[in-house]
Amino acid sequence: MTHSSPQKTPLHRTVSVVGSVALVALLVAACSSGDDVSKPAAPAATVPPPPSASTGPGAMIIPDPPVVIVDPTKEQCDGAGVFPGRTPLRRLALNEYDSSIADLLGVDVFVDGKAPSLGLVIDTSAGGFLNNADVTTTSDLHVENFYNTALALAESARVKGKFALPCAAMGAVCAEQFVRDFGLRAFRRPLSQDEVTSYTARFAAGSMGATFEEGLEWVVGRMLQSPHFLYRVELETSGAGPGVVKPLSGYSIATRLSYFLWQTTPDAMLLSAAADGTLDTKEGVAAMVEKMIQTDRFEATLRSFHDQWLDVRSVAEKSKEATIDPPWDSNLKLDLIEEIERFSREVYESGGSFTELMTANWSFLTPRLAAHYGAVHPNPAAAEEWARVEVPHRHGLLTMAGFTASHSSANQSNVAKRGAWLRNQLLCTEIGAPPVNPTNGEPIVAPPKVPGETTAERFKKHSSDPACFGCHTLIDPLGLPFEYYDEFGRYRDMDEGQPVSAPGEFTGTSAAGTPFEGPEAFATGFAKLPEAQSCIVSNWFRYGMGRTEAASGGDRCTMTRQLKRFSASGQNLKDLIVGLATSDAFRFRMEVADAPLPPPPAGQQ
Amino acid sequence: MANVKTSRRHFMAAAGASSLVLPVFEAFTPQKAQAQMFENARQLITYYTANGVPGQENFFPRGGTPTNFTLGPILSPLEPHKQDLLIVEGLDSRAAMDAGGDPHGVGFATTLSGRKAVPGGEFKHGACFNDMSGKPCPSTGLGGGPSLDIEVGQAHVAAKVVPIGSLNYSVKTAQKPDLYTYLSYSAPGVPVNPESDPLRAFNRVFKALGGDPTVSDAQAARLKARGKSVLDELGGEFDLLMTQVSQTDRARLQQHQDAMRNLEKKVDLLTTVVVGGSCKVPIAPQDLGPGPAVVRNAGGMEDKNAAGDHGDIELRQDIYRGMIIAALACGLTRVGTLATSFSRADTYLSFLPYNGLPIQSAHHAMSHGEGENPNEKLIVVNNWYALKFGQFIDQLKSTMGPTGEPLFKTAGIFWCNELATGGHTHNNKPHLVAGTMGGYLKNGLHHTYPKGTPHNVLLTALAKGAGLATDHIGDTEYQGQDLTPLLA
Repeated sequence: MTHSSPQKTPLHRTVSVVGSVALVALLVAACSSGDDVSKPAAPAATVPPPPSASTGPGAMIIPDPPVVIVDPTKEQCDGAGVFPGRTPLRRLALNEYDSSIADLLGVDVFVDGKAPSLGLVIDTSAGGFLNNADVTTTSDLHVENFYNTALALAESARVKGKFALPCAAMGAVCAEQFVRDFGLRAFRRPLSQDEVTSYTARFAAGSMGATFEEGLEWVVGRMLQSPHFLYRVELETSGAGPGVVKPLSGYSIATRLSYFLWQTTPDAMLLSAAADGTLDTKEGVAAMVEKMIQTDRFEATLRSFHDQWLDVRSVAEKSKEATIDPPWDSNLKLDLIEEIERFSREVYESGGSFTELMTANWSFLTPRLAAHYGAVHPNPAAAEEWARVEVPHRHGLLTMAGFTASHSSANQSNVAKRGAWLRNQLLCTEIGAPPVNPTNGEPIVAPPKVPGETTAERFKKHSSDPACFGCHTLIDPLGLPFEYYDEFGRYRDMDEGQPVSAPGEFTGTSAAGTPFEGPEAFATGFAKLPEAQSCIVSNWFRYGMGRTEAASGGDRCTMTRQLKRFSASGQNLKDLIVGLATSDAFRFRMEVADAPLPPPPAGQQ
Repeated sequence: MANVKTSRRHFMAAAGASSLVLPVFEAFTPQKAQAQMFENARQLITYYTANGVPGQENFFPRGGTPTNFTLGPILSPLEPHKQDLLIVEGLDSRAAMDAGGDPHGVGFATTLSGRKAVPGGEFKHGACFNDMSGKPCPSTGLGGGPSLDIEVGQAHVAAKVVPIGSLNYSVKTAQKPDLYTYLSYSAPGVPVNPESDPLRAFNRVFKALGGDPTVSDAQAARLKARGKSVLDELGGEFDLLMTQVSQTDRARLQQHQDAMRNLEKKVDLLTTVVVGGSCKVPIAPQDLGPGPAVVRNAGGMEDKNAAGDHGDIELRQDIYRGMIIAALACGLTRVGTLATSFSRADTYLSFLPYNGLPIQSAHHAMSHGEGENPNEKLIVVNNWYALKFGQFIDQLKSTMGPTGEPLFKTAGIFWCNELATGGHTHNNKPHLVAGTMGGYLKNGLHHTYPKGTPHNVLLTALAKGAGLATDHIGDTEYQGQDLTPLLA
């Protein structure tokens, strides 16, 4: 693997003792080259481990005593130490909750065909993504919905005969087998013996004076509300003390991979890979990621990632004033969304690079889209047929009409909207919404159209006010190159009867000071921008880890290593995902350095 | 699992339960005294409409005396109810002004809480209302603490007088979890998700009462027994897990477990409600799905066309109003919040005519002057909301409550808004109450407070009217105002 460095001297800068609660981020370097350490397959039913377990399965790589590093240096990040960063407990995001239940029981158990979480206000986002563990809250409405959903779907599954039984539907033995089988799938790991006992008792209570299947219904109704279903519980570092790093079990890795790459609960293949030790090595995980990316299920991740990062679907909500042919209707808008999905999927799956993503002169089009773009479709009569074709005047993802039209006004292209979007989303810098107009206190709007004056000219005047200039210097030079696309995202070389002038510059970046003209130069230059490359790596990190990367601690190492790897691979996008899924942040777990829990009251354990 | 059977309440007490989501009143108010105050059923309803009003002169009475006033243009549909109204002029949302941040957002969060939004959060908004320097406003987090409806509702549940703290309904569904979305909060930064799917809202409240004719009594009993035992066992799972995770993670699980406890109380108490007498289970509504879902763009503005068909907003409002009133009559709850939208909503009300033509501009856009004669159109829009408010009054008058007298005698219905005017102001907000809350509040009065009085005084009057043992609602710096002019 690209970033596993040759053996280096182990890290020895002991700066604090373990257990100091004041330390914000404690990091432990495994004295052996932890990144490549493999561990034996986790025996079945080791989870949850008792909090006091410090020996036994899963504890074999802890250095003794642990070497604690507060904040690894650049050199240490270059070394082989294991620096996973922190791992907050993640509740299933609502889309993950829905898809997991669909996988466990089948979509036809959904009451009235509604996805269980439908209508719940979506989870809070942070760092751009809805799966951010740090801001996920669980309200009364959530819990009540989990409760009603679990009971209703368990009943629906019974009525519809959806309990896959491993045995003849009778007797406690078969029920226990169901508890183990369904529990494995719902909790994404084998149940402990205590859990099997408790859930088998639930079955017994439920089937008393009722049918066998009704007993199972009680089991399912409880499991779907269990914290072990609703949360991605990882107990590998439980009780290990702050700063202690441990490898994740195969089951935890399978769960992480499944939600990261498939947006749903692990399937039988992943669970068996977890059981047989396949996921205990970096190579095993890498091979699994490659395999998972090639399946249709990866589409769910690409779609959700791009929707959240780039707001792909927003074009569906945009109305325009002018009338065009083909018409600006939902057929066209949905095609524009699907174009972005098909294109990005092809780039990722085919092993394409960030440069390819940003500069490709090809795309997938329907005849309708081909007409919109002025491209040639091989089978124009087949209205809904997608074909990969060359598209004139297009240079990668950002020039697609789905984006250029979305970041326009209803009656004109919009330099500032396009530029601010690029600055915020694609360069990961924060430009807030415009301040109010100082004269009337109202939000500032785009300069109105003036016959004979190009959009570029009007925006230039608009932004020349000294009060506006500071921000617009960072915004407009990114938006201007896109002036070759009108408010529908169609190519143009004339605007208001004048030739389009679209001078751009990557202001506020390492490539500032070199002006260029037009979208092709933009795309080529943008693909090379370190800020842009780092931004896509950051976004995948946030999406994959469910948190925003910190500038220090283990995250600094992860980002440094991933950027290095991204660069070495020629910005290969598939390898970026493999890299993140095999990183320390993904494969290891560190107990965070907050105060340990008070011991349970006497008599409880 | 050795401690499955151990009571988690015992565990929580022993471990020093976090006050993260625990209702604050539990700490201060002797429950017994509070329960006594709740013996006489009083109901609190809040009715929210968005985007301010087109000028205070169009909302408040102009001319006449405090007790013999002439309603302004917006409230004219309430003429038949003039003696039922308590119109309160002069109150500012001081907490919104002091918090900074986006006016629609922080205004929404402070409307029912009187608390400044949590400072320094994710929500950055450029449109600053109290600083004309042109600099972006400070960013904020979500709302700064419990809102009036939740605080009153939770106190009722804690006192075990009703199974459900409050019903929180929103006609429209916001798709982004931000300040624009939440009117109600249970704790600092912890919003209450409004229900926006009428059928599901119905099932959550009335199904266990036999509202679903396909559920037999035996089935209902079985459902309850199963639900309760499952919740109990899950409590054991949470207890164990909480000993195995870090403190931060434990707080997350604690929040979940607190919500489970609220649910458990509800399941427990639901069956103590007897259908019959004043309690009539409404007919299940048709399945409309979640309210018109709206996608907003990066600046927080609702995009045109995003809302799609707004044709059923009146039907949704009517369904929610009916369910709130039925639940109050059954004694299922004493608090209902009906938001006609989230804040800053660009609701299309094209079923309303202006000069004989449908109003085609969206509500928020009109509040910023879009189209011709926006203020006149906004009066038409607000007239319609006033009409719907009047229907609320009518229905409360014609529905018997648990005390055997019309609900309107014991209830108060509060019409609120996140802003004063479309110009993003929080000064002199449009505040209107109908009903005396059992003779506590004056009606038939237009009272004007001195300029700059925090609106917390009105929130406090409503809380006390609902029987809450409190001296003040909202941030303490806004206390000390005289509420006696509002009292009967």
